[in-house]
This record gives sequence, structure tokens and C-alpha cells, in this order.
Amino acid sequence: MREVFVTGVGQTAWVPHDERSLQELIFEATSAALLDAGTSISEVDSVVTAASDELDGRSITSMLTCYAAGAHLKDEMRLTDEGLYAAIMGWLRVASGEFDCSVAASWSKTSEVPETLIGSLAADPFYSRPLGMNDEVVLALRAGRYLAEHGPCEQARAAVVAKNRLAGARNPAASSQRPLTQAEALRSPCVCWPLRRAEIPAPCDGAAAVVLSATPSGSAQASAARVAGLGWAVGTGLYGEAQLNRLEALELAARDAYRMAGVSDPQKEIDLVELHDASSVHELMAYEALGLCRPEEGPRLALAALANHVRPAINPSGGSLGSGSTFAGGLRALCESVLQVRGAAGEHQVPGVRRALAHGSAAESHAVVLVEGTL
Amino acid sequence: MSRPVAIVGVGQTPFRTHRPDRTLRELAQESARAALDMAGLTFDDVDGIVFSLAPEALAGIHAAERWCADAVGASGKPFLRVHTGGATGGSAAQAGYFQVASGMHDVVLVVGADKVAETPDAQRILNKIWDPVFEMDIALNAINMCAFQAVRHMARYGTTAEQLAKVAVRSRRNATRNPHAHIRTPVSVDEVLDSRLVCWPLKLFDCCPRSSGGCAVVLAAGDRAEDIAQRPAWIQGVGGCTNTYFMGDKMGAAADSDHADWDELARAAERAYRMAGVTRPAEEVSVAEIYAPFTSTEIAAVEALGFVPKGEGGPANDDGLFDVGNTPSVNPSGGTLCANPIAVTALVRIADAALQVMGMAGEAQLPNVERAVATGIGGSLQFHTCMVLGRDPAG
Repeated sequence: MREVFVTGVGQTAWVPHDERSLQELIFEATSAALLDAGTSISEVDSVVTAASDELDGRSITSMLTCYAAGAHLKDEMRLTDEGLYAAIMGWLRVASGEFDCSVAASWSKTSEVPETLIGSLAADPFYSRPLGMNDEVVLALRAGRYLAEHGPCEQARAAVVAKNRLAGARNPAASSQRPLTQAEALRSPCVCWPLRRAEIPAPCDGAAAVVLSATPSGSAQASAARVAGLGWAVGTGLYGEAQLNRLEALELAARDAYRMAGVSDPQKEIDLVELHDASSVHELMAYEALGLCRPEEGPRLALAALANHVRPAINPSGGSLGSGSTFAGGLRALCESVLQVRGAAGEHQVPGVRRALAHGSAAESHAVVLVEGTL
Repeated sequence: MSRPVAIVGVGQTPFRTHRPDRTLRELAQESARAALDMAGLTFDDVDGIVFSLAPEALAGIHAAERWCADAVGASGKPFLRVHTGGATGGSAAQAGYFQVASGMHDVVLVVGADKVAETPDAQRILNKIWDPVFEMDIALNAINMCAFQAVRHMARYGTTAEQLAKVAVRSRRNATRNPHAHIRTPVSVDEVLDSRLVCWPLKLFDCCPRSSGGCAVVLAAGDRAEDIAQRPAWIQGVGGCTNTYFMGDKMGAAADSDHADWDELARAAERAYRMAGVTRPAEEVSVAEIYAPFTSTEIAAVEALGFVPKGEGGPANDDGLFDVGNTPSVNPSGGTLCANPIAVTALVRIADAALQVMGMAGEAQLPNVERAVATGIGGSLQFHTCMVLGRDPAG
């Protein structure tokens, strides 16, 4: 298997509403990634994008948007899975030896679309849609099941919110949401039992891109991050059959990524994790699925993470609760992970990060990419 | 550097306008089972799954691949979905190819389905691929988009309506030997010319049908492939090229390429041919399964694939150059004119090409198919895929 490096990253600011067009956002992120990599568009031989027609409001969104990611007269393909999958397909293409340098980009302008309505259209039309299933309801059902096992975990859930909101406020790329205390989080109204408004990320607009290359060269050489491992999996859509209190697909994706990277003890061998905090409880479940703690220890880890006493560091960028939820979430997480292993994350840099994990998820699909610094 | 990859199993359902007896995911499952059965494999043997699905608005379920995942054995496995409009099946097969070629997986299932006629008017959905401010209101859709290209080809090269009709005649004749094809009735040149005008110059019989059905292929890495299939269809070359969305930019002094031509398919094919070691496609390709949803599109494609010079596609077809038994035989399955289940059509092209190489194309089987080409096209005639399949792993 050929070695592949992330040689450049780029992301727009993640804001509740960006006045610019989708193409402008994608172009900004992709240009920034290419500049960061010291790569010109002529050196790119592959472009992979991850985008959703319904979220973009067009029946084949890549028809218009792929060019902003550099696809003109290139070998290009689009996935509809969330952002991190673009990097995974870019990795597969370069690792195969058929391509040397791939752009991977993802985006969404959630301010322009009725995201909840779109989510409800994903529910099976025969049995689930009439019940009012949507993404938020699924998060709430999972949360309810987790709390049935672990107790209400009020402080731990509020700790996740407070931690990520505080981190987001310190991240220059993040949404202009102010920090929130645990007490404020607990006073937030319940929107879908047991989840409160503050426990579910608010949507945002933005785009992210990375450059994947077989050979870091020039300015990219010193700052390239090696892709050490990756994995992805989908969980069952039959919720009545699923273990709702566990993210089994994430366990599988992580297992594959760890195996590939030679990681046997993630708590000790991974320095930083940028995971998808789809809800406060989702983050607790992710700790357990990623092996960052034992199954019953998730809430305890959340409290320790708020007090800043944890390794690996968790969501120092603020995650989705801190920056806003985006279809590009996992790719944003990868950008952050690469910045961290490079020592280039600025105000929210965590000291001594050699190995970082990026996680992206949408519905029951989970993807994990592990990067290592090459310094 | 990359591992050899082969197609070891193929499955497709019969294509019909409506399949009220099967949901979308049942069609996908049926196809997956058929492909796995041919390969002598089960769902447990599959390492990764790629789902082939184009605008799911046609099915009316957002992210319908999630709804289909369990049905195709993907629960707990690596699963992703590719969507490049009409080219989706070609891109999906390439995504599966990279999963194996990279060394990540040994056995990958590429599967999908469509129910194009489930929506009352597919063109209303396809109208939504255009810009909401400037283009949707002038009722652009997939048919008039292709009609523009046909008009330009006719103006530039003198291609005639009769030449278009002859493409339909050949395709329909071929489809009589393909039990999966949607439209299997022969047609004459006069019948095509007399059929209802849809969008000049395209008449009803110049156009593809709205089809429902599913398709799947199983890909395997070199040594596994040889264990599984007696005669695998080796993927010798893959290529893709995306040209501009703006049809107007393919005209005039600043154009990279002209809208009459499919230079982007030529580029995709160039890459695939290079990988496969094909230098004289007109002599080295036995079968070409070309994604041509309209007769005019097939003429542009045979030129872009290097079978004949630009502008010569019509006259070459007049001379019967692409009839079955010749090199290349174009669309011995009947092609997209005889079945267009959009989400998987480009995968069906690959499936039909693979069957020819594997010697398993039944009544449609041609003798000594050493090498076949399968293409896909999507969007504003902008996304093109090309795959070269052959009897040997090396090109």
C-alpha cells in the first residue's frame, strides 16, 4: 500500500450565515489548501468531492460546484457521504498508484435549506416517515437509550457543551457563538427529549478542503502529515435492531483505522481527537466507541475533559457544538488534526501532538482517519 | 504499483418501466445476490460496498442509499455512495476499483438500482439540475440538453436524422438478444423518423426509455479473482474527465473543446487506453458498451473513443461498421437506448461489457471478445467515465 500524505489544508470560517455563494466558499477552501501545499492546480490529477444534492438545493450539485474544487478537465468523482469520505476516496485513488495528487473538498450552506425537513425525507416513506423520524429524533432516541444505561448524566452532558463552546470561541475559524457555561446549557429548553437545544449543534455555512499527495515536496515536505490509518463503516438503519446506546459503526471504523496504523492502545497512542459531537450524548458514545475510555466511563471523561486533564485532547477546535454543524464536518476535523500534528493550530494548539484522529459521521455512517506528523 | 482487479460476478434485473413488485432496495438486493451467486460468493465474503445512485429525488427518498444499505449486506461494513449523475455507475465501479487496487479491500460489491418511472415526470426532476435563477425557467432538462449537442453535430459535420435513426435500428436489433433489455422490439428507419417529435432533432425512438431495475458487479483482487472466476473480466484501464458545466463555454474562440464533440470522453478514454496498453482502439476493442441515451450521443461517442475520426460517426454507422461481429461491435446489449435505469445505467454498460469478456453474455455473446470498453456520461454532458476490460490482467 502506497504512503499518502496530507500536504495542504484549507477551510473557510464557519459562520451561521455566509453571504457568499457556495462556489465562492469552495473556491476559498480549495485555493487555501493548494497554497498551503505549495501545489498548483496543474499538478493535481484527481478531485474528489463530498456533497449532498438536497442540502445544496440542486439535483446534481457537483454539476456546478465541482469546478470550484478544481475539477475542470480533471479526473473527478463525487460522493454523497459526509466530508471525511472525500479524503478517504482521495486516499484510495492516490494509494492505488493511479494518481499522485488529489484534492478532496466538502461543503454546505445549511443557512439556505430546511435541514430538518430534508432529514425527514431520508426516513423510509412506508413505516418511518409517518412517525416523524428525522436526524434529530434519531439522536434523541440514541441519547435516551444511553441515559437509560448510564443515568441522566446532566453534568457530563453539560460539560461536553461547555467544553466545545469554549473551545469554539477560541478558534478563529469557528462560528460566532459565545461560550456557554454548564449551568446555561442545563437551562436551555428541551427540543427533542432528552436533548436540549444547547446539546445539538447549530448549523453553519462553510467549506473545507485537503490536498493528498504521494510525495510531499517543497514547502509541503516539512509540514506534511502522513495518513497512518483509516476506516469507515455504516450501521444498520433498522433502529429496532440496533444497539442504540453504542456507536457500533464507529467502533468498526476505528478498529480498522487502528489496525492499519498499528495502534493497540488509543488512550496512550493517540494525542488528539477531533470527533463528531452530533449531540452531547453522541460525544460520550464516541469516547467509548473510539476506545478512549471504558464503556461506563464516558461521562467521567467528559468532566475531566472540561477541566482540561485529558489525553488525548478532545475537540480542541470546538467540534460542531463549537463551530456549527456542517456536511463537511469530518473533513474540517481532518484539517484541524493536520494543523495540530504540524504544530500550526495557533491559539488552540495542543502541545506535543504526534498522532491525531479525525472522525466524521452522518446518520449511521462513520469514518475515521489517523494522521501522524512527519517532523 | 496497483494490484490487478477483475470483475468476477455480474447481476442485473430485467429492466421495465414499472416494477410494482419490488421496492428500490429489493431491486438492489436482487442484483447483488445475482452477482454474488455468479461469483460463488456470499455477502459475508464482501469487504466493502459501493452504492450507485444518481438523483435520489427520482426515488423520493433523501440519501436512499442509507435505506438500501442493510438490503445489500452493508450493515457493519465499509459503505459509501457515488453520485455523478448519469455517469454514476461508471464512477461507482471506479470507486470500487480503487478500493481493491489500493490494497484496502480484496472483494468489493458495487450495486445500485433505480425506479425512474416512479416519479410522474422524470424530466421535472432533471430540470432541477440546472441553475434556479437563470436556467430552470427555460425548462432545460436532459432531453433538450442532448438535442443542443445533436444540432451542433449536425451543423458541424452534416450528420442527418436518417443517420441517427440507423443507430436506433441497430440498437433495437441487438436488444432482441438481451433478455434484460427494456425495449426489445426491432424498429425500421422509417418508424424512427415517423415517431413523435420530442425535441428537434430527437424523435421518440431516438430517445432512451425510463427504466426501473438494478445492477451489481463484484470486483476481486488478482489472486482471489483467479480462484473465483474461470474467466474474470480484468479491469485493464480506468479514466474519467469532467468538462465545464456551461454548454455555452464549449463554443466560440475561447472554448477548450466544442460542444459537438466529446473531447472529455476522449481524455477519459486516453487515460484508460494508456493504462490498458491500447494504442489502436479501432482495431483492438472488440466490444464497446457506450452510454448513449440518445442516438446522437452514440455518434459523438464513437468518434471520441477513437473508432472513427470526428464527424465520421454517422457515415460509419451507415456502412454497418459497428454491427455485431465487427470490431468494435457497439452496444451488442442494445445499450442505453433500450434500457436506462439512470442510477445504474453506466454500471450496466460495464456489466454487459464484462459478460462479453467472460463469455457469459448468452444469446448476445460475440466470439473471441478479448477486450471491451464501457463508458458513462452524466450531468450537462460533462462527466465522462471509461473502463477497459479484457481477458488478461496486464494491458
